[in-house]
Amino acid sequence: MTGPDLGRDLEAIGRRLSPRLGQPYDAVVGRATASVGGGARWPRPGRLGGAVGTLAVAAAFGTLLAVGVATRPGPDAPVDRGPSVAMATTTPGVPASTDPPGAGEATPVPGGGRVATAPAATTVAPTRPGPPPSEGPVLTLPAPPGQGPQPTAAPPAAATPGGTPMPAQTPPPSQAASTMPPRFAASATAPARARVVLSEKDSGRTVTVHPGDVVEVDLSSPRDTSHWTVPSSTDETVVSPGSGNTRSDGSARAVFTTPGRTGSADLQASRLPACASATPRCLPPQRVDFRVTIVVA
Amino acid sequence: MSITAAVAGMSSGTAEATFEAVFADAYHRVVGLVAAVTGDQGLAEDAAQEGFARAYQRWSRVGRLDRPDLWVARVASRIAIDQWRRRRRETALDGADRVTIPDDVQRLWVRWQLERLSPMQRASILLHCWEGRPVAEVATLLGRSQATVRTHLLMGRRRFRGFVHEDESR
Repeated sequence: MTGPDLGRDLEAIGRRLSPRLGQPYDAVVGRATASVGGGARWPRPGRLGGAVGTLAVAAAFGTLLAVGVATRPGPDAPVDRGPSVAMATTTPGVPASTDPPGAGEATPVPGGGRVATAPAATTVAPTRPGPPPSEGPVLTLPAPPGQGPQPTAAPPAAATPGGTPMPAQTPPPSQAASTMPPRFAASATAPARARVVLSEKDSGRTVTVHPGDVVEVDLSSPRDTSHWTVPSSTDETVVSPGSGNTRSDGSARAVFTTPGRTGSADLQASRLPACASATPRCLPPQRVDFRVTIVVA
Repeated sequence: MSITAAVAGMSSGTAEATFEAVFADAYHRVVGLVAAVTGDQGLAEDAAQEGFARAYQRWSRVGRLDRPDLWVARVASRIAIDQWRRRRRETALDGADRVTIPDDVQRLWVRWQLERLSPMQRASILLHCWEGRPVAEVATLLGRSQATVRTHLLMGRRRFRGFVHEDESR
């Protein structure tokens, strides 16, 4: 056996253990950006998607606002310079007739000048009708029984305040694929999985999830000197462990997947006293301090 | 895209493009390496992702290394070994967190006779044999002295004579 053989073996093992690239890539970027306080260290034009339009509108608005402020008549300059902030309503593509009554209207002031009575934002907002862009499946809080978290890849409908269902806006497949690097494009078409995050406060609860969902257990650092063990599953055929670790501050985290078999399993972990890791060790009684029943249905 | 080409393209391309290229090229190997070092599938994915996340945060520096994938492999291996030690302490106490070693990792261990070695010894041997890295570089990668790494390789050599590179002084 040679080095290249070993390299191929290692790659084959890695491909089997973690077959997809898109999901871990997103996890890596999420971890990296979360631990530095949010925000990638470089612009990500390929992934911004609809945000580019939002930024463009914001930039245009900022420019117009700056112009308006710069041309706003001062207290000692009674001149008619025309609309200031209200100029935002004349942005190309924004019909003036969409303005609500009074919004952006210029009020005459003594001396002949005019002052905008409403910020331009109130006139720009109606030009973007419809629901906000759909977001990708990220973190989902546990839902009540019978309303388990659904994958957000294709929500069926979104209700308006008046109760009339409207078709949810989802980007067309070609647009969704174009925001992903080509290398990971295959994973963009994979079915989205809901993610349920549990903490120690959820101990004792029963949570219903769907096959394919991801369950994450995040046990925060105990206030005393004890530390959590890595959460485990009582039935790995129903809820199988993906990854898990403990941290030096005593907290623990584990990610479980539901491979598809229905049934129930308990996720449980224990808190061990500090002496359990000391020398000589103490032998604390075995007990379960965290237990959540997961029902896969 | 090869890693070398990806890193060379940093001046012209975006930093994220090179990171994505290195990630796509090396992620599976790093997961496989860490799994082979610790035998723990969960640790392998978690440590590999943590390694890449740290590389992402330092990409202005890591991306200019000759082999950023080896930097990630080193970080991921050390994270996994630390976690493995911590978990072993806990497992020894309550016996609840037994790790099932994947079959293909078992087969690799049997082929390379790595079963009875410690994770650090496995990491030394795998990095040395996989990439043909010199002892000095493996020692640097793992944060150990060259003498320690030579000892690990010697123990490995006794087990699978002929597999380890003959020139230990490299």
